[in-house]
Amino acid sequence: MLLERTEYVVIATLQPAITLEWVSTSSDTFGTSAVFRWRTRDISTGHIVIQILRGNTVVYTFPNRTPNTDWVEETWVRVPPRGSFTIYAYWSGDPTINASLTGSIVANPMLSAIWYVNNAPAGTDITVERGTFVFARLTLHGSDQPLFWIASGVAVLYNPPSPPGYWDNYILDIPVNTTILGTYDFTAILENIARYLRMVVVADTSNAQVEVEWSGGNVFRYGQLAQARWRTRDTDISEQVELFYIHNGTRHVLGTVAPSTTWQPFSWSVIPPRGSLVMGAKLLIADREAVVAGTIAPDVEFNVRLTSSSSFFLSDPTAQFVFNISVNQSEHPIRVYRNGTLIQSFTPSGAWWDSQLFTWSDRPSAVGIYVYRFVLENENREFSFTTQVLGDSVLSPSVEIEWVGANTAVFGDYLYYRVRVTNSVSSAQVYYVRGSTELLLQTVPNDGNWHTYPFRVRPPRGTFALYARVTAHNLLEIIEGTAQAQPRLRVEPQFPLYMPENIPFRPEFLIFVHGSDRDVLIYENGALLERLTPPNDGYWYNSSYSWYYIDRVGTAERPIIYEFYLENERDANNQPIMVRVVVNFYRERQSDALLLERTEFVALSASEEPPEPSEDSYVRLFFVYKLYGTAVYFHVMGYSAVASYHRRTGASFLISDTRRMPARRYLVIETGGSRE
Amino acid sequence: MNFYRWRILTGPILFGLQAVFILRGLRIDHTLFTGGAIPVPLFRGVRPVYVAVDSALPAGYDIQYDYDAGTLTLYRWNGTDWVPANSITDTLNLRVLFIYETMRAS
Repeated sequence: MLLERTEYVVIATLQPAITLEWVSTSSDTFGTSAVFRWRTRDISTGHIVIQILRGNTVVYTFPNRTPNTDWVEETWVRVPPRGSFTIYAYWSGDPTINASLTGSIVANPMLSAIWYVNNAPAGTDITVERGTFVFARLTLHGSDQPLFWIASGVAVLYNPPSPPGYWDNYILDIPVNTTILGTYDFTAILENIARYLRMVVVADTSNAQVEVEWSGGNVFRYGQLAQARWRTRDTDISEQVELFYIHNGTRHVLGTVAPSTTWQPFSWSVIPPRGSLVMGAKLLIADREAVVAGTIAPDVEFNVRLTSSSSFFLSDPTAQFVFNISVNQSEHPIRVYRNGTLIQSFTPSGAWWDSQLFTWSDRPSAVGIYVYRFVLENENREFSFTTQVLGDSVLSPSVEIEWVGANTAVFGDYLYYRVRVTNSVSSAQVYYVRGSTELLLQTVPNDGNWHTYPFRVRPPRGTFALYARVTAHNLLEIIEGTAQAQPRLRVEPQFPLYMPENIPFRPEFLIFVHGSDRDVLIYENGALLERLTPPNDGYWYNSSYSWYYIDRVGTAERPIIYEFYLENERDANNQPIMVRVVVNFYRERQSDALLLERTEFVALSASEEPPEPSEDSYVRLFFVYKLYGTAVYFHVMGYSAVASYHRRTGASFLISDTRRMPARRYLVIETGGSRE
Repeated sequence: MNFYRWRILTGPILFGLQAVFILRGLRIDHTLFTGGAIPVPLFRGVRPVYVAVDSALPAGYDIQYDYDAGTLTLYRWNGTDWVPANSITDTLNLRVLFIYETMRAS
């Protein structure tokens, strides 16, 4: 029922509005037209205001427009800055009736650069003679940013023309200076675009010439003087010569001098690194140069020697490994690696090693094997040494034997030797060795001390050896000595050598033998009577031997000759060593001769008893037998007289004045009564 | 330094009225001896009439007195003959008997 009572009322009202929309694209570059259109509804009074806003700022206001319900197109040319803009339209009758449209301005920078030589395009890399008219033509577009023109490191700023405040196919010509020879690089930068131009300014064409040649070789060591010479021809009056060298591609100017038509030397002292060396001269105005090429090739020397022992015991506090290092003509460092680890570096004090010789030592602190590598870096040269530090537990046993003093002596004399046994578990034995004979002489304690022992030289003569042995360690040391003979033979007959004939006597001799290992042969009238052999130790050494034979009887006609030989021994003159004893006999004895032979006479003054003698102070004549007589007569006679006197008087004793040689005078002793 | 040296062993011992015996020691140093004669001492200005050397000479050696020159000479047997010695291997200590005639000297 309620529904039926509802009254519907239709009310007609006005709804004013403004509509905006794009005709062109909303976003474009500087200078392009932003085209849009507008229309109104239910607006019949007032006018429409259209504005361009950048942010909140109104940058342009269109003339007032009459409201129009049909689409009306409007155009606005985009100007910097780049960014967004707003098209804003409102009704003057009620600004709340409005509309807006958003667009944007973007940059599209473009830059080209090209040389113009004598007003003609010539590319980007030109070579021109001095004084040529040259400018760079830059074409800029689509940017509101400044242009940077960089010439020889100096930047010049060009702002875009204003209006319109941006580059719009703008042509910018920048002239450059060509009065100075050289190479010039220019850079034009617009926003993120860079263009590069190069210009080389050269001198006018000339006939000037320059020559360069080496003075000597062209291969150099470090420190050597690289010498060249130069000369010029047909140069301009204002010409200058620049002398230079190029070391591994880097050019260095030595100086500038006036031209010369005669050869002029110039030089440079070579330094590392090795490689190429070019020396040259350049005509600055004519812009011509001449060069010679050489090589820096030092003859590298590197040597390392281990001058100490290659091993030592850790217990030795001063031991170390010592190396001698010599190096020459290299600029590179020496590295020392021990078991692969770098432990030392050496670098030359100057620019290179110049005949350096030095010593380096190292002492590892632990037992082990150490491999030292000495490397001359970059030279492919190295030395390697294997060394060892030993612990005390590996001391090696040793036995030493040596003579103390001489090693040569005569039979029976003593030589001395000494022996030392170290680090051994057992004692050493010393043997006398001669041929197959081996005789133990001594046992030497293994206490590490020297022990000195005598050795008595024994036959046979010649070289013998002493062996010092440690069987446990299989050690053997040998020294050699020489046994020599020094034979001597002396015989003293114990009976008179001048005796009456036909009276038995006993040939008894005292034989002294020394320094020989040979037998003594005894001959009587050429017949071998006996052979005496050396004592048990095989040689005679101050030996005294009493030898006698059965009683003999002699005759006056024939002396008995006893000869004693040391068998096969020779003296210094290569003569046999022998003694000859001749026993002579006489006949025609006096009647009292027998009595005389059995008489002892003592020459003493009757009243004088001799004091206890400390030495001989009197003369006593001893005879084998008692001598009885009332008087004793002494005569001194010559050889020619004594025989007849003796025969005539029967004088009892004849004492010759020599022992073995023919006597010149005899002392004749006779006893009895009156001489008459 | 002489290679020889004389030493008195006994003083003069008178024999009868005419002679004296004198026994002297003679030392010949082998390190200095290179040969040569040995003059004998005089007694009251005269030479001895008899000189004899004892048996201490080693084998192969002998000493002879030259009555004209008044000197002793050491000889060596070279195997065939007696020749003056110019070396000895050991120093010799000898005794030498001298007999001088005193009457004639006075």
